[in-house]
Amino acid sequence: MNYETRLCIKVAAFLFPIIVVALRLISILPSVNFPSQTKDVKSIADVPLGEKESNIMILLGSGGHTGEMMRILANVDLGNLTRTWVVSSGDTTSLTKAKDYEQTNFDDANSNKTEYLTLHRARKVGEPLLSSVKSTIKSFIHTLQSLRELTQLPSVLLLNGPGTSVPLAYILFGMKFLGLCKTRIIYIESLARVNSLSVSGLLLLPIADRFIVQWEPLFYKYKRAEYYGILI
Amino acid sequence: MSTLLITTGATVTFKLLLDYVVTESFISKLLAINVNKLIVQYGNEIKLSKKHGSTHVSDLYFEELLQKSRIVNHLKLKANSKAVPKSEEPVKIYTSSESDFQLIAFPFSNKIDNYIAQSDVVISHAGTGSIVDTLRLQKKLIVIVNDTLMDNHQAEIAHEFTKLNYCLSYNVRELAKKDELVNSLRDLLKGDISLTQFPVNKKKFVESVIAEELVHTI
Repeated sequence: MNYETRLCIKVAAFLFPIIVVALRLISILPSVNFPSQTKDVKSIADVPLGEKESNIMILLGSGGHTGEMMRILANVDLGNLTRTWVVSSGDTTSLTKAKDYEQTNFDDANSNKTEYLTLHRARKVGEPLLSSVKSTIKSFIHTLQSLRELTQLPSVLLLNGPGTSVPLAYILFGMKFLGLCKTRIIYIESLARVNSLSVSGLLLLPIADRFIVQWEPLFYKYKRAEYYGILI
Repeated sequence: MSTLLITTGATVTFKLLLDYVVTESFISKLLAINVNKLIVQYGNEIKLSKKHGSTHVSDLYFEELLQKSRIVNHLKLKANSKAVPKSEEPVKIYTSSESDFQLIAFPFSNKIDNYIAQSDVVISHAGTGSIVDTLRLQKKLIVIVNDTLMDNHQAEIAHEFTKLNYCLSYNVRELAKKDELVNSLRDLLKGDISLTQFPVNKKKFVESVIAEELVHTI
């Protein structure tokens, strides 16, 4: 093999994985794909899920975020989806709300399959930079481990803006990239955001399959945003 | 005779608002405009520490204000624990032996809708949940914005809703200075200020979005 051939092989070997990764990214990144909306399904009961069980993962952030999420869910019939509730460690109020929702909407036999996932907070308020980097990495690893313990990875991830949305969504996006799951990410920006997105919203804009805002100014500002009025 | 509900949010104690309303002067102004029942949701802030275990910050603060304002003595309020219905949620009820005034206070309630429903006017912090709950029940609303919070995006919705005439709003730091709150309360109760009715949105948009996305996972 002469020098030139070897160089060509090296360049090809270097470029090949990059191209594969890029192609894979393009195929799953919702922001570069055309919106493919199926308009014929209006309710979850209409979805032909067949024998397969599908799971929805719902993140309850804290105080206001949990309040908005529970109000949103009051208008949703989750049908025969199994549920995974995600709460931050120490947030007993949100956990109680999830359990109340289960009790009022499902019978015991159905609720048996429900799973609860507790996540460490990404960072505490006022934490110094170095230890906040450390705890962010820790929380990523912890989230990964907890996701592996679940019996089922979610088909749909429903988020509405707390800080913990970001690591959770990116980890599931990473798993989707590797072909481990097909999770669709639905993000609903908080009603408190009228003119600008939250940091979580900005970070999730490229990877969320559906991005819903609750105020018109945001709808006009972002091409991918959907607007249906106030949802809570 | 009318009922006023003051709701301050569950997470952080809204001290500035409580400072203003848990006072003898505010309550006597309420009596002057015929508000005879005051319901206060004062917060559920709990501090955990390794040394002292858990401290209910909101509870302590509210009790301290009650002591300091001496309204219990001056209005001859009596705590009647017997009237408390059998429920898991802690509620304090004080009834005046002189007038028909009643003060009901609790840190937080899962049944806040019941309290909103029995009120004529609601004074609320700028939380999205409390605001929407009140408006959906078609109650008159005054929002008090707390600009001492770090992330003050909650205030945006108060301003937006005020622009649309769904509610009135005041900055908590203006309360003591201008003293318009009681006047607005009086005008709202008398019907001199009329607010726009909040549209009720009960369509299942989120459910169809979830359903559409589920189709992609089959």
